[in-house]
Amino acid sequence: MKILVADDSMFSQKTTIKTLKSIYPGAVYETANDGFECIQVYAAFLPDLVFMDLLMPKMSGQEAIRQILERYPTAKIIVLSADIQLAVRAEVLSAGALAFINKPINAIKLKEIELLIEG
Amino acid sequence: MLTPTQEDILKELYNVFVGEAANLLSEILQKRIFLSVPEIKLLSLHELKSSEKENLIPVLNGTVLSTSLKFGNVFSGRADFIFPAEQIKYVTALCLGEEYIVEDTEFSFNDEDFDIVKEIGNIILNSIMGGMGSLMEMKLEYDVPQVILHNAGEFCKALVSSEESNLLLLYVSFGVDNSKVLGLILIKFSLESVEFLIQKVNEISRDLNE
Amino acid sequence: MNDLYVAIINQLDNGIILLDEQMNIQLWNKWLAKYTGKSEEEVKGLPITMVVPRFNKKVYAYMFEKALSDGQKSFCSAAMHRYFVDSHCADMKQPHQNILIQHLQVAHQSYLMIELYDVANHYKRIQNLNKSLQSSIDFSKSLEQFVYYDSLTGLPNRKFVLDRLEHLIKEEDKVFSLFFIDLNGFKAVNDQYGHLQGDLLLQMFAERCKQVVQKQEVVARLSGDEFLLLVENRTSIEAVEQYVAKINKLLQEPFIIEEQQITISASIGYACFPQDGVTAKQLLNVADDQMYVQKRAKKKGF
Repeated sequence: MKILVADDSMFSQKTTIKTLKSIYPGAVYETANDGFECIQVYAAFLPDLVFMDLLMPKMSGQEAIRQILERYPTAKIIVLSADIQLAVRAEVLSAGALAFINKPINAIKLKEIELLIEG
Repeated sequence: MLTPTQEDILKELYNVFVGEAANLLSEILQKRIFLSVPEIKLLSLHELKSSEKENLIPVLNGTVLSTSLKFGNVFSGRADFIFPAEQIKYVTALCLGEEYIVEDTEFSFNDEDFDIVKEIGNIILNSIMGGMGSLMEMKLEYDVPQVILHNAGEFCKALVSSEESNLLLLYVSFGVDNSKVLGLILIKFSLESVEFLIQKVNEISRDLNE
Repeated sequence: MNDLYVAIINQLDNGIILLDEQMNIQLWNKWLAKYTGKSEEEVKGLPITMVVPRFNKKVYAYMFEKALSDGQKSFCSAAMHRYFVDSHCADMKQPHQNILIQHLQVAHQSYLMIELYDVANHYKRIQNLNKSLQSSIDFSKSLEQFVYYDSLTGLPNRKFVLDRLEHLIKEEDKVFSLFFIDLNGFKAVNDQYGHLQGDLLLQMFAERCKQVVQKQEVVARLSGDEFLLLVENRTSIEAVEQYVAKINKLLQEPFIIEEQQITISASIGYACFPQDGVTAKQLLNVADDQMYVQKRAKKKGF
């Protein structure tokens, strides 16, 4: 399993990967520091799953989701954001994200969407 | 004063606190709030030259409205949420769902304006204090913030000449309906408190790298 | 509860609601009973959302929860939330209420206290205060207009110019020129057509001046047919000549009075600061004298 974590915060990248490892210990991880980099890494790495922050410099998560899904319609993207407004959640879900997790991430929140990921 | 790792961690933590406040605000206003990537800086006021102090935060050289609260006993300091005064009428109109009319250069504020600023400040500072309390694993005592109108430069003068020596600057701009409003969050810590905070951040960093 | 404390709460000039942890009303003070028409007996023990349906919204549930769990205090302004409890008075058309939600703990028992302030009258009072303030600002503006401007032409008056000159003289490294303008033959117009038509001509001339006056220039009416042009930062001979030409050009087109074309000329004297004088009085005298010299020369010429 290959997982890409896109977040402008190193701290958040590490926390996310650490939490993910408790569920997917065998997975291979890649990171991206902004939306633009995320698109490039996606093309090279072709991950099974993307965890995407929204508020990032250079290119927002929203735009990266749009561009990735345009090229890879079956991409599985899960949004991980501190911007937890209902309107934001609705916006990214209708853009094609699989799920929305409120930051900070923890194992309980991950478990809740695990079924969704596998399905 | 902060290492890149420390800055990154603090930024991300505050990001979550501010996000929570924005969510509450958006539910009250029934409007989408657009947040910017926050910027964070920790400054030691004693080490600043007087010229640096004057131009520390350009926004503060104008007329500003602040909502302020003092917090804590052991972990203590003061938190302010600051609005440039020229934005207040715009924010009020926004909150009241009225159309904003550009008035004369003279500002006249009324209780409605002050109450709105007090509520926004209350929401934002509550989220930050709440978040910081759980981060430090202690209950921080604090009250509803007070709103004060400061004439040009007054706020900055008071800021740099106080006992608390460390200043955590957090810039966030938020927009509603395509318009940008800049809000500034300032947290002043006592010397022990800032050491406490950094210690906590270092702990988080260590846990993560284990 | 102690009777005295209850008596105090019932004397307060704002609403107090006390909820237990299950959000049921435990106290509803007299102020609220009067305001809403619902007595404490009627509402005691009922869930707050049943009595005050507006508290059903998610944001308030969040604030209540935060108060109970973290001791957070929340302030909600009338400006953003309008109101919470309904008033039973028919004349209260627009209720405006602020509330403060906070946590209370007495002997291991947690409560939520909601303080409610009716600010409708207060807002109204401030609005009226602002209005009266505005009208007094308007009044002082009109007073200023009266003191510094000429009522016939709307141009700045003698006092305005003198104040401005004093000010400029005090400033460092300031230079300026002033032009004394006297309309030739204005008296004849007055005699022939009457004062009303004469005033009309002065107004028309003032209008032409206003059209061309630029930043750092002031055209003022001193008295009768005497006008003054003040130009900041320019004192060279070329500049002075340019301005004299500019003034003469303003008078080139005839004025139409009672369907008659009337052409009028001007005598212009000027003075420059600092070379021609260092006080406003000296400068005006120099310009005035020069103007007279020119006027006499023109008369001889005719």
